[in-house]
Parts: sequence; structure tokens; C-alpha cells
Amino acid sequence: MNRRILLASAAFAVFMTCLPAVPFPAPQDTSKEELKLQLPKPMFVGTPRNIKTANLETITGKSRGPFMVPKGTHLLSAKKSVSSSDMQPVIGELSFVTDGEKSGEDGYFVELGPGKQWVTIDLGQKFTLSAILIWHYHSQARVYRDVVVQLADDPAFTQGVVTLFNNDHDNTLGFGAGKDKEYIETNEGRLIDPKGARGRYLRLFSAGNTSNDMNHYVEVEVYGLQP
Amino acid sequence: MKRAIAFILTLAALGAAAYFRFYEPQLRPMHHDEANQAVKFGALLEKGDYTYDKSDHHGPILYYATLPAAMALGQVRFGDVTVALLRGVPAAFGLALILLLPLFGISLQIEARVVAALLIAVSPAMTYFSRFYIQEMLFVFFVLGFLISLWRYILRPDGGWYFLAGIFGGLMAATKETSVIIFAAAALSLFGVVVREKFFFRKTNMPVRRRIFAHHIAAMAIVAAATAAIFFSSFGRHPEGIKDAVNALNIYVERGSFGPGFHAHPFFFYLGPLIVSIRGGLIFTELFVLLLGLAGMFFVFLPHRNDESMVDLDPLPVHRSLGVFLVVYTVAATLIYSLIPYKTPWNMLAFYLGWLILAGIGAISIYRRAGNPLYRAVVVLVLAAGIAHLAWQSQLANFRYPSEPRNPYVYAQTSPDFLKLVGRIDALAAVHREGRDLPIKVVAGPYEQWPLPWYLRDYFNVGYWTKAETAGDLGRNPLVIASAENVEAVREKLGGQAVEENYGLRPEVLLTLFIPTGLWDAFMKSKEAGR
Repeated sequence: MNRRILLASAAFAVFMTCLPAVPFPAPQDTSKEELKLQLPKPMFVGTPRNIKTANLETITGKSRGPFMVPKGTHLLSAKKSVSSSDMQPVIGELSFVTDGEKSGEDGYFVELGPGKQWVTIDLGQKFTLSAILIWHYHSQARVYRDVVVQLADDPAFTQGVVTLFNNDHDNTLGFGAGKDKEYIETNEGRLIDPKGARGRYLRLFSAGNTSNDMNHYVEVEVYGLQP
Repeated sequence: MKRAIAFILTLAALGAAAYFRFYEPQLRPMHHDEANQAVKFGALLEKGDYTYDKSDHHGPILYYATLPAAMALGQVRFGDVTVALLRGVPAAFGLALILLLPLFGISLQIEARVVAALLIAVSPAMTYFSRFYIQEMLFVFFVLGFLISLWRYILRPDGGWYFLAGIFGGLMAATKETSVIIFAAAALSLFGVVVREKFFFRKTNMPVRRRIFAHHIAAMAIVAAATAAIFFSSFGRHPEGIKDAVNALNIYVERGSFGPGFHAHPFFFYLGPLIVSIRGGLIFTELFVLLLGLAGMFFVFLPHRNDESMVDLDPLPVHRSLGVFLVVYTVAATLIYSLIPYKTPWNMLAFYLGWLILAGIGAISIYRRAGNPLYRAVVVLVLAAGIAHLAWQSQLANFRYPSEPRNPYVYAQTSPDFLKLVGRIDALAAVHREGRDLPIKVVAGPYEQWPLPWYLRDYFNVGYWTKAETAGDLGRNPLVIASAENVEAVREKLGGQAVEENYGLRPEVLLTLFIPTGLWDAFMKSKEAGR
């Protein structure tokens, strides 16, 4: 009898120990679907000397994986008007930011002047946002400095301002020291989860990059739900 | 061309040349080669001593040319030396090229000299490398001086020009070992002139055929050797420098031909970007100069129906033998430099100078052959537009994209982001109790250490290691600058007690700065207080 109890106890203990390792299918959130993206072709392979530091996200070389968004999510930013701190770029046009062309080749990016610069996308009305994707410049492994993404209700960014991303860790831009990490540009773009934030104007800051002082945008995509 | 117009245009050329060479020299971070040369100069400045290194750094002229400028400006300590001082030296030589042109005398007519001066003043290649603290622009200056002296000697062998040619030749040799290429190209040019005079124009009374004297050439060689020896031996203090300079030729021949490594480039490495460079939305081209240069070459060989000796009636604005001399030099030097596997973009200047002078000849030849005033007006307008376009490109190359790889003159250039690293170190030192005595450890391979020794020249507690394992104890809370392959090891040694920041050294090469957390907190506190 004791032996049976002992064996049963051992079997139960083994079962309980293994339980967490057994893959159970995650409960399906039927209100969400995978965000479908069209990525441009990659322009470089690997990371610069395979660098790994605490303040820089590591590129694994693998795909980012699926990103789930609420059903009914649409691309909101296509062909929407763009303004900038540099209204006369030497290379490219501000409309490139939302023209849907994400190629890393020449002729697809707009180049803003040196130092701190921003672009603002006017979505036309207030939306609940599901995802934001940014391609600064992905034909070379580089890190853009002080990337800050804000959402607001007015073009002057005085009402309903929400900071969605901030890797300005030393508070150069004055929005507070950011906790997000720096990252190396790739063809996958940088995905930012706005966590359902609502707003009409999206402003993206940067302050040069590790290769030069300029600021570039190949494309910015803003996804969300129709009101 | 009226003298007043020539004078005004020459002044304009000098003004433009000065602007493109001296304005805001600090815009571009120091290239690692510049930093290397600067540190070498620093040793001469502070220790008063120089020893020729036959395997690297080229000759001593750059340092000896910088020394009086530093003294004159009171920059007697290496820590005081500024980028403006260093880059001002090649800039001055780049500007002085224009002042050398009149020494061609009437052999190169004033109109052609003026156009050549304008082109030299605004050529992006010439302006960009005039702002580079390396030997090249000094070398090009001596090359032009040597070629002019050689030509003047051919014209008038009894005028002492062979002596000046010897001095310029010696200065060339003491600047860069590649002077042998120029000597070879110049010898071919001389040969070209002799052939022209002896076989094609036997009846003309040109001086060349009879008046090249062996003893003059020997004297020229002796003067050149003596001039070079003075500098290579550090004014007699290190006589072994002379022997090393001779031995260095073998090293450079071997490196140039068989072991160029990173610097191995195809034949069109020089001519390609001069024709056109289209990268990342930026277009650079000096095709205008090349086409005018080709026109100059064409007109030099285009027979003139008048008597050869009637130079005044010839629409060619150059003595035909000088034309041949310049064409042979330019073609020979272009070919030799392009054929050698070892290539760096600044090497092009020694032959591109010939193209620029020939472009001046080509432009005036076209103008004179245009005949009709309307056609001539068109030629002047096209010429003005071409020069303006070159000037605009110089503006972009030097002031907007001085470090940008899309700029065809940029080569393994330090990123502007690197200056943020330097700025961060300065800001951290300002809040550190030891100030500029704060310990800094650089853990990076040789190619990733430069140009740090220049930028950290005024820090007194800096050490350099190639591997984290050999960097010793990191326990005294130093700042650590690590290259990518050393980051993990440094982090392990520091036990995670540091804030990490990444800075671009060159495109796709990052350095990581480890800042002790206490120092970071003090820095952020002071930053917030000052906001």
C-alpha cells in the first residue's frame, strides 16, 4: 500500500514538474488578428561587428514574429500630409514619409538637416492606434539618435500629448530621459506598440545617427481603428 | 583678356580658394590618418625631435611646415594645438597653388592661368583635400613648383631654374615617397618635348634640342638629394633617416604593388568618381574639368597653320612644347597612379592638377576658336556655369556632407557621431572630481583606437589596450571605451556597474562608452540643473 502511494506520489511529482514545459495552445484572442506587413528587401546582412551592449537592442537575424492588433485595424497614414522642422529637404520630399515606398535604395528616402529634427504626420482625424512602423534608413547598419515618438490632438502638441517611444536616455531633447533602447535599422522597420493610444498628430524626433548628422525617413506607417 | 579683368578674376579665385579651404575647418571630425599625423607633429612640437619612420607616416615636411605656424600662433603645447592650425597648413599650400601659376610666365598665357586658377580654387577634389591634415596638398604644391621649374629650365638653361627644380624635387621626396612617380612622369614629359622638338619641328629655334646639359641634371639631382637629406636626417640629428628614406622606397613599392590590402582598388578608382558619383541621392562630378582637359590635350596636338615660332598668332594659350610637357605628364601620372593597386583618393591630386591646368588651356582654346562674339558669349556662360557648379559641389562636399560616405572624396572617415563621444567625455570630466585626470581606458584594436589619441590629447590619465584581458584592473571606476569585440569582456570586468552608450566611429563601426553609474548620475544631475 505504502509502495503504491509512494509510486503515485512520485508520478504526480514528475507530472507537476513537467507540466510547465508541455506546450499548451494559448487561448485565442478572437478580437485580434496578425498585422500584415509588406517588408522591403533587406539591404545588408548581420549587425556591425555583432555588437551587443546594454543600451542597444540586439539583432537576432530572425524575423520579428507576428504582431497582433485588434480586428479591423487599417493603415491610416497612407498619403497623409507630412510637415517637418526642415521643410526644404536637400534630398527627397516629405511626401516620401507616407508614400508607401519602403525600399532602402536611393531615391526613396527624405533627408532632413543635421541635429535634432522632426516630422509630423496629420492623420486627418483622431484615431485609436494599433501599431506604428518606422523605417529611417535601412541600407546601412546604423543607429538613429534620440528617437522620440509622440501623439497629440493638435498640431502644436499642447493637448493630449502621449509619448509612445523614447530612447533619448540622457534627455537631450528635453522630454525626459527615455527608457527605450537604441536599435539598429533593418528592413523590418521599428515597430512601436501604441497600446491603443488615441490622437491625430504623430510626431517623430531624431538627432542624427551613428554614420552622419542627418535624419532620414524612408517610410512611417501608422495602423489603427476607424472611429 | 584685359589685365584688370585678369586681376579681378585672380582675386576672385583666391577669395573662393580661401573660403573653401579655411572656413570652418573643424566641421569634419579628424580622420584617423590626420590624427596620426597630428600626434606625430605633437612629438616634434613638445620634444623638439623627429625621427623618420621608414614604414609609415611618409616624410617629415608636413611636421616641419606646421611647426612655425604653431609657434607663430603660440600653440606650443600639444594640448593647445587646434584643428584650425593643423588643417590651415595644407589649406595654405592649396591656396598657394594658385600663386605658383604665374611662374609659368608667358609660356602659359594669362587667360589660361586665370581659368586654371578658378578651377583649382573651386574643384571639390582640390578643396576637400586642402582641408585634410595629411601630406597631399604640400606634395601637390611641390609637384607644381617642380614642373614649373623644370619647364623654365628647358626654356632658359642658364637661369638657375635647375637649382630651384632640385629644391622642389627634394621637398617632394621629403614629403611623400610617391615622388618617384612624379619624377618618372616628369622624365617622360621631358622626353616628349625633346621628341617633338627634335623630330617634328627640326627647323624651329627651340631651346630644348640642344640645351639640356648633363651637369645641370646632375646638379639638380644633388640639390634634390641634399634638400631631402636635411629633412630626413632631422637637420643632421638622425643621419640614419637618410638611409631609411632610401630603404623606404622598397617598402612602398612592395606595399603599392603586392600588399595593398584594404587599399586595393580597381583602375577607375580615381577617374570614376571624377567622371560621376551617384550615391544616396547625391551626384558629384568633375567631368567638366576632364572634358576641358581633353579639349586642351586635343588643341595642343592640333596643328596650327601659322609658323610655329609665331606664338602670338597661335590660338593655343600655351607654348606648344609646354602643352606637350603638360599632356605627357598628366597622361603618364594618371596612368601610373591608376595602374598601381594601392589607392587612396587623395593620391589623385598629383595628376588631377595636370587636368586642371589643361582644362584652363582647353577653355581658352575653345573661346578663341569660337570666333563669333555670340559663340564666345556662349562659351563664357558655359564656363561660368561649370565653375559655379563645381563651387556648389565644393560647398556640399566640405560643409554639408564632409563626413558622409555618399561624398566620393570621403574615405574611411570618422563619423560626426564620434564627436558626440568626445563631447560626452568632456562633459563627464567636467563633473568628475579629478577633472581631466580622470582615468580613461581604451580597449580596442589599432584601427578602432584612432583618432582617439588626438581627441584625448589633453587628458592625462589615458591608456590604450587592444584586448580587455590585458587592460588590467578596471576597479578604479575609469571611463572605458571599448570596441565591439571587447564589449562583453569589459562588461564582465565591470560587473555591470556602468551605463553603456554607443557611438559611431565610422559607418557600421561602433564604440561603446562605459560610464560608472555614480559619474553618470552626477552628470545627469548637473545636466538637469543646467537645463
